[in-house]
Amino acid sequence: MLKYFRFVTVLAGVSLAMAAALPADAGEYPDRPIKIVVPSGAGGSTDTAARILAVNIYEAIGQPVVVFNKKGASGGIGINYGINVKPDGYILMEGMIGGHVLHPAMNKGAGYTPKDYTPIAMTQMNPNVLVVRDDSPYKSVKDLLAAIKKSPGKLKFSHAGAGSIHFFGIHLLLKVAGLTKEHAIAVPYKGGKRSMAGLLRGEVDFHQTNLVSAIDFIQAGKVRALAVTTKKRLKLLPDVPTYTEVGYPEVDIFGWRGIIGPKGLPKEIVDKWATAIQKTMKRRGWKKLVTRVGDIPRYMGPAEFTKLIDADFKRYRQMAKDLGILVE
Amino acid sequence: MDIDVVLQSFGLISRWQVMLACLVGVIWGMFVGVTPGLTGIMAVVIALPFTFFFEPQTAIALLLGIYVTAIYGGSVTAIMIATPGTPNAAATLLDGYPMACQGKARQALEMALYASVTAGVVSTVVAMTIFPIVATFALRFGAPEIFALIVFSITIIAGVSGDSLIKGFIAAALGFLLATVGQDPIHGSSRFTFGLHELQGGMHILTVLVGLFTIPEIIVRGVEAYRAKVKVTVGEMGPSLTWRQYFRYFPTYMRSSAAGSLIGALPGLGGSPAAFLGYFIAQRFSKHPERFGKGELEGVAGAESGNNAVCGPALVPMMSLGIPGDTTTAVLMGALIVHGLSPGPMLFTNNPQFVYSVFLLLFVCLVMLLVIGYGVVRMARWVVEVPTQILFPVVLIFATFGTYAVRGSMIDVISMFGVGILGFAMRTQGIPAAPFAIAFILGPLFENEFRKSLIISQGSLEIFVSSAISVTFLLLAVASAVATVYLHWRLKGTEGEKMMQA
Amino acid sequence: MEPPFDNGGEEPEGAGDGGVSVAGAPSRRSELPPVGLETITYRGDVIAGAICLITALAGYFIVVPAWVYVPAQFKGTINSPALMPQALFMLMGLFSTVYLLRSIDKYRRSDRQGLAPLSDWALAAGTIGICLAYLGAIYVVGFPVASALCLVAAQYFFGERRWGVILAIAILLPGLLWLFFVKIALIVLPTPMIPFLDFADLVGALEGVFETAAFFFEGGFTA
Repeated sequence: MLKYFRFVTVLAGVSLAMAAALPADAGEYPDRPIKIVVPSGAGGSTDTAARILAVNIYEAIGQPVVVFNKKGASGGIGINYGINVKPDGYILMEGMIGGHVLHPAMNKGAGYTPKDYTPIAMTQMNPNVLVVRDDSPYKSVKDLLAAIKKSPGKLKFSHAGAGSIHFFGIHLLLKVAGLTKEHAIAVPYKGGKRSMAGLLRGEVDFHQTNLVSAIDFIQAGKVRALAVTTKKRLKLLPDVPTYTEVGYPEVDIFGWRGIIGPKGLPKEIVDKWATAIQKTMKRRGWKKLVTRVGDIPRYMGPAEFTKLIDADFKRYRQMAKDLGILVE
Repeated sequence: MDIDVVLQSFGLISRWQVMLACLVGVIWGMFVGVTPGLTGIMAVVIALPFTFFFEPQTAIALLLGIYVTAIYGGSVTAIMIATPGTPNAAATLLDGYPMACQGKARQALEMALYASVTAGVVSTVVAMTIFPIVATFALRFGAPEIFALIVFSITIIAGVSGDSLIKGFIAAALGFLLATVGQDPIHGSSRFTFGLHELQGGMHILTVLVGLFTIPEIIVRGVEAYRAKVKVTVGEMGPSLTWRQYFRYFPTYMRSSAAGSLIGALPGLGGSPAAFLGYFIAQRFSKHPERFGKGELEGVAGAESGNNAVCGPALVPMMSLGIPGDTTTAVLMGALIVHGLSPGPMLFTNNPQFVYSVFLLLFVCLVMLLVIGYGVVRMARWVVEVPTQILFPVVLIFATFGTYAVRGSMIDVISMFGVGILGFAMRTQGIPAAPFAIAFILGPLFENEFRKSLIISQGSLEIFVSSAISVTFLLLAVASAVATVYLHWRLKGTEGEKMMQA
Repeated sequence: MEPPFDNGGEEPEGAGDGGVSVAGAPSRRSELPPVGLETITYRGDVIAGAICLITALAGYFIVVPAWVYVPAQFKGTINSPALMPQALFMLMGLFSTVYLLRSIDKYRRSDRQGLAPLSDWALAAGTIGICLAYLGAIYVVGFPVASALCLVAAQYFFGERRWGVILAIAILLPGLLWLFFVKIALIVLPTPMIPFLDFADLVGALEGVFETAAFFFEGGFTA
């Protein structure tokens, strides 16, 4: 009996000690830790971005910020959760183009559109780059498009699932080049990294992905970059032309990440976060980590960010309709 | 392997900070592993932000410690309370839990620990010595090759599972069907979601495993406890594992480690298929295949060698190609990137010392796992002394919290109870749970790789025989299927009669 | 009062042949008679086979057409999302037909042994009932309180009668789990319909007490 009693006492002691260790001051927002939902898996680039922000924003927001993942359905699971929480600013989302814009643009059944959430601020962007294998005969975008035109339905590209940025990027290119989706075959992979492996393995002929996934393979000489989606050439890849240079300025798709709140988030909270993010982005620690993971720091305030998201959504919804890939 | 470089990498890790980080990781990983619902991936994620401020070696030491230990930790709850702490432990449960019920918990736990460490060491040595070869090897496995490998694995597993072949097939069909819930892997259109967004992500593996194994156990033990009307406990941990018992299964560790290493080196398969493959390979080669599933030490050895052999090789495609083998290695990769050590083809060229130091750290973690794990085995005696009528209500609460915690979704809890009732119904009629679980794990891989191959080949089935690797595995699959038929024919009249009966 | 956990001392010796021990009730799980529910009978096989067959048919003809979305261009192709589910239901139909026919045959030729006693099924239904009630309660009163209630119900149902033990576990375990999952693993629990019972408020109150105590302990208003 004594042994048992001691066990219970220890349990009680531990629970009380844990309870006592928790902070509890009531008052102005935020008065308790804030959670950020990442709608993709742990360890991915969106997740890393959220975590880097979370460890750096403490000073600016005054409360610990913690990150948790809810992945699935191209981000749909996490976002459906994130838009339906109480809009008190204690649960926010890490925004990503795939889940917040492309998934609902392609899926009417996604359960949300950009009207259902409140963009707060963009923190970083990541340009995309079109790559082919090193031994591939295509030396430029023109070569590749000519080959696709010549033998429709022969060349294949890899992507990270219908509705991913890899998928839309190539379709956007095909569209502005006056080709249809039947001209090239889309091969789906689980995630961007595996679709890159598909290219390396020779299962597909070309692939468009974000810079960070491709840069190592470009530098190692395993793949060749044909074009980047930025307006100006990148410092990292001075020899690679931009899409504007090769005559397709419309292909300006790029990944972005930022913080997005639920529907009906009060303006004070949006502004508080926007200011805090702006402040945090000046920190050296944040900049160093973000550059290391391959993103380009880029701030965009609530109004501008909302405009970008709305415009993107309209454009990709139209594209999905035109391509016949819109899921009702 | 360049000996000079390996010696240099010793210098990188022989610092007290690194060792401390390893130890903290091992303890934290063990804690999380034995808590149902907290998976290794969550443990790594919780620790990840702290590592942003560490040196790269210290950071990776912490994460590796968690990664290695959580795989073993899951088997403790699988053996003691029929609840896989992590999905990898499901195969360990098949024989480990019956052993615990028979009062041989200690042997099961120790076998799990020693087999884990043995397989971990073997597979890490393999990964380290043939690092460059493994890297190119992994790249040669495309969709048709992986498909062929899965077909081969299925033929290994089918036929030796359960008393009745036809019931096993029905269970497998059900498991595979459950795995098709959610988004279609190719087009993203929804299947069996019944209009619920939460189901778009499909069923989580831990939800299914807990429902399948834990809930029926709670129901049956409930009936038993109600009728017994007294305190019923397992009562004792049983004798310790002897050295002779350990060495007797040495070939088992080697075979199952080989299977686990292969699965680990290929991106995207993960620990659970490795555990099941290790388990069934052990059964295939066993002198007493009929004892499997009823508390056979060799089953625990096979399953645990299989899943722990994944650790070392899984790091190879991650570090050499930048393609993580499973979700946990994806997080490790995220940590490396944050520290400016971008995994990919350049990492080994630019920084071979670091690559080898990671493998050396794995050995350190395994040694610490041995020590900490031994302590956990001793603590497990608390569980066997808790009477059934208290233990299983407590397990029910753990299972529910844990299932919810995996994705923070109530739909998972509902599914867990749904699968639990189904699992109970299956159990009352002897429809085996193992084929259900295996089909749930392998089914999506099978469908995905099959359809992807056909997209790549534009509908031509020739793609499955177009490479040497896939032809080899398909031939092996045929051989294994023939062997199964032979096994049943040979056993007919003795055990065979029972195995074939409906 | 006897020790609740440790009953190693009063182990009945020599209950050798697996039966019920001399001292009355058994105290080791391995010495209990098998639960009747797990005895496989041919009648049960017939029922199970019939259920599987009906499931397979219903799945193939009703569920797949209604709940698998097939984009127009993939209808009938090898790439259709419905292909695998259809094939599986078909296989399942095939297997369960074999299973059913064999079981009917065996049942006819056997001594027609029945199912497990009804009381066993009732007891199993009782546990399932507790599980479902727990699930419902999570929605109404939230995770921690529902868990406490479930622990009380399940322990009582399973035969525990020492209220001290029941209540101690019912209060401490959900509390500890709540602290661990919510405060350390940072899981967000669902908001119950009766939010007052949300554990956050309870612990919040507790925290307040400790805050106040700590405040005075550290020197009151001087700091």
